[in-house]
Amino acid sequence: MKVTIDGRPLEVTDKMTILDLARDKGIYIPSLCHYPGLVPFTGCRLCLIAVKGREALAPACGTFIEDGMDVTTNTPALQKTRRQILELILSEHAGACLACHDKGARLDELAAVDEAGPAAGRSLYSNNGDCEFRKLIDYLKPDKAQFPSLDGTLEIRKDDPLLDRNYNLCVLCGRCVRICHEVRGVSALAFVYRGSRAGVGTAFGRRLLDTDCQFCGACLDVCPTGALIEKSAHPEILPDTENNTICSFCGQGCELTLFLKQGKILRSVPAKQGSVNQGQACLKGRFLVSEAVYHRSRVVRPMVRKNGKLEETTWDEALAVVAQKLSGCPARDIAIAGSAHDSCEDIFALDKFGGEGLETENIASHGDFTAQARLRDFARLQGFEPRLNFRISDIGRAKTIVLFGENLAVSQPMVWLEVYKSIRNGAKLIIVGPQELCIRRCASSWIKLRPGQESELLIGLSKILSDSGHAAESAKIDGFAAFKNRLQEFELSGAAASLGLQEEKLLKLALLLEKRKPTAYLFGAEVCEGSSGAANLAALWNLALQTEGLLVPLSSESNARGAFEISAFFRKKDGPPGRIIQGISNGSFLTLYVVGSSLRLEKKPAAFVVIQDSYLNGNSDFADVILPQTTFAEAEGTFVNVEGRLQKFERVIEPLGDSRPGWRIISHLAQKMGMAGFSFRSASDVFQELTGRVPAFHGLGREQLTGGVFLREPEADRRRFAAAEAFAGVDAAPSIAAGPDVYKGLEMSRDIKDLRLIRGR
Amino acid sequence: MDIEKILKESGTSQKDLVPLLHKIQAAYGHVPPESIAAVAKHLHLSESEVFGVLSFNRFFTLAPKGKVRVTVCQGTACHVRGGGRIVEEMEKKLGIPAGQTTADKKLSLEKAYCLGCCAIGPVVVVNGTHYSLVSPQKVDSILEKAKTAE
Repeated sequence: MKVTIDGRPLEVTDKMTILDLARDKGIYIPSLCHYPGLVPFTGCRLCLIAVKGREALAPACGTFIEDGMDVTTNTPALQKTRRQILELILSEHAGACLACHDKGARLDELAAVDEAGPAAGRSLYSNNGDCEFRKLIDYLKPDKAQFPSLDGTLEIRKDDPLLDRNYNLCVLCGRCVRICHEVRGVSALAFVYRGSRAGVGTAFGRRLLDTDCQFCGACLDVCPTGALIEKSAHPEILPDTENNTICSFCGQGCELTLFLKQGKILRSVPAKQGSVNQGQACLKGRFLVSEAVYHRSRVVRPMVRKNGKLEETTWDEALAVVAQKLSGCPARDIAIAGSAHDSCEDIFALDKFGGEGLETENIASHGDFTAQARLRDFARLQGFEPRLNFRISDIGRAKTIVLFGENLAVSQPMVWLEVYKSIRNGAKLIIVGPQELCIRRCASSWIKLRPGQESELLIGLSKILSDSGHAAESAKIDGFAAFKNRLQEFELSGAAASLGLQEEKLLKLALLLEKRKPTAYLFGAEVCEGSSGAANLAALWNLALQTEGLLVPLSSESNARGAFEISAFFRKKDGPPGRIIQGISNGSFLTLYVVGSSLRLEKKPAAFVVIQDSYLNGNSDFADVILPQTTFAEAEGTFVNVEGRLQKFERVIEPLGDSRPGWRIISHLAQKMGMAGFSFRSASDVFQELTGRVPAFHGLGREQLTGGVFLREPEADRRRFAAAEAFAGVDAAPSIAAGPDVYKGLEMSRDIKDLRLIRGR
Repeated sequence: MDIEKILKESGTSQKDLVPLLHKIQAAYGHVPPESIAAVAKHLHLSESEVFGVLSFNRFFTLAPKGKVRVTVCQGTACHVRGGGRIVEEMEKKLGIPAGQTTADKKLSLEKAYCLGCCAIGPVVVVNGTHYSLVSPQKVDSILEKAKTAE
């Protein structure tokens, strides 16, 4: 299509709006309600433009390019119209904002600003002093408040954690309402009332804590004024530096921008270009980074227990004590519990130290107990190679999504956004599990089951599909005949009765899966563990084959997949890691080296206990030595997220106190014990050896990592139906995952007040 | 009639919201605030969304209304013919501002914006009975009759 904007001839191939095209070409059109990624709203009318041949002005944000269009975006008449609209908006805005843009405001005007202060709230500024509305005032330059002002009568809402709401500054652009509805799927905010009373609010003016609000902060990040303001923000305290990092609070791998002042973290926001999160985050990444990094329970000096009491000491002494104890202990009596919150570099150093330095077989971490680890174990026993890598965006292709038990909005926020997006595009979500989740509102059905009953449901669905001749394509897949034979023995009516479901409901569900392909099955560790775990996995695997299903195994730690791949490389025998965890709790080891919070200890588990962590917690009571480790903000390295995407992060702040990155602690310890192969000087040194040795990381260079790169996987075989025989060999040990709100030794939902309030609802 | 029964008879998609609120108001005389959660759940909406629609729409009320509803039209035609004075007169006589209910909970005074019969304005409606060409002098007799209205 050919169009002309302000006399400039332009060529367009995609369907796009005039505003998007203009922005793309560097032509400025003022706008207020528009926000990238949201459905065009055409509410504020500030982006009005003239289209030749049309009598009325058109909003650029909601007008799509047509061939031959001749658009004018900047004439005195248009500016006058826009200015008038802005003046109308200003009549409902704090009057002080008019002076706010004027650096040379006279003293009496500034006095007026002061007077307006209490009405306007403690801050007239948007976050970081970056007020979009003020920029519009600067651009359109209204001379004075043209209309009688209506502002300043609403009470400022300060009764929620984390953010305040000052609707005296709200311009009703609706960005917060729309992002909460369109992107986050929560709709905690809505337009309420009408006419001059119209505003943004909640049902009955409740505080957000009394709605379904997840406190993700998306509303705050899109607000173009100071109406929504972070409690911790202060107009006078502005950042001097910003740096990006990868959030380590869960397995999504969101890119965050951290704002610093004099080397300290002030706050964090989701990076707009983040390859996983694209400008979105959750409560933890958005609000709690500085809370977690500077938490009062941080441990920043090495400690050694002397006369029953932990005392601060030097690295030299602490490492000497550990080295001496480890050297004097037979390898079979040493156990190491790693942390899946650590970087690949930390984990590689630890596993190499354990496996090759100490030559112990007893190493386990969260990473060995995730749905991904279980799926691979299961599949390999059956002789298959499963695919563990996926892209979150792949889920968006599914027309039916079956979710097992997890509250995605909390545990997998970015996966949830993709699921919600597909629901908005017509996909159906089916939730299977014992509890009613808050995302139930968006699901088309909820199958209430007791844990352990999943396979019955899944096999029932498989039987309906195979009996009715549906899913005919899958009959060509290897192993179908044997699978069908086994289904003959399955009693559908009995299963329906034990599940407490009508047979008809099962039929309807099976038909949905058949009619609305492809499907996706999202499941976490709980489905794969215990006595029913292997049967559940087999049933999932088979049903996915029948319904063109994508299996999406989920994990919650920031580097669960990395930990699992690295520890699999160092594990010489295929021994189930459940044995090690069991052994630790039975007190079968003499010396224990615990990293992070992987295990909650209830009694002293070994004669000598070393804890390498960033926080002091209940475990510290049993420690003989504590080695203080940095958090992700103080170190550089790489994480593998839930998708299998390897991303690097840079150091943002200096390590607190004497704390050190995990790989450095281990290297020093190994050197003290006289081990060769630990002369790492930087995280990149470790990464280089890691990529040279661990197959999943082969040949991946750090320079490739912008935007992330996927781990290598063995070629997936031709798919085959799973047989019933090989279930016995699967490790049924219960997961040791600590839950989504734990970061290393910090139980965020217990130790951080705001999260406690919100999760405790 | 209980809420559950009304919900059961209603559809479950977003477009069923306004008809459903109408049914609830018809049954109760108002939309009981405690019914919002059930309505939201039934229609897969959030409570804020339901409240948004309800508070936008002038017809719906969250507070119980009197048995007798006196509605005075303030649409353009009635307005230019003196509808404003009729409301003032009513407010004075009843001792309540428009939008409220008398202390004995019997009568509610409301404003409407065009009832679609502009030719006979100013219009007052008492529980479905229309009074045309109302003047302030007629207010007394209308309120007298309203007291006995069903």
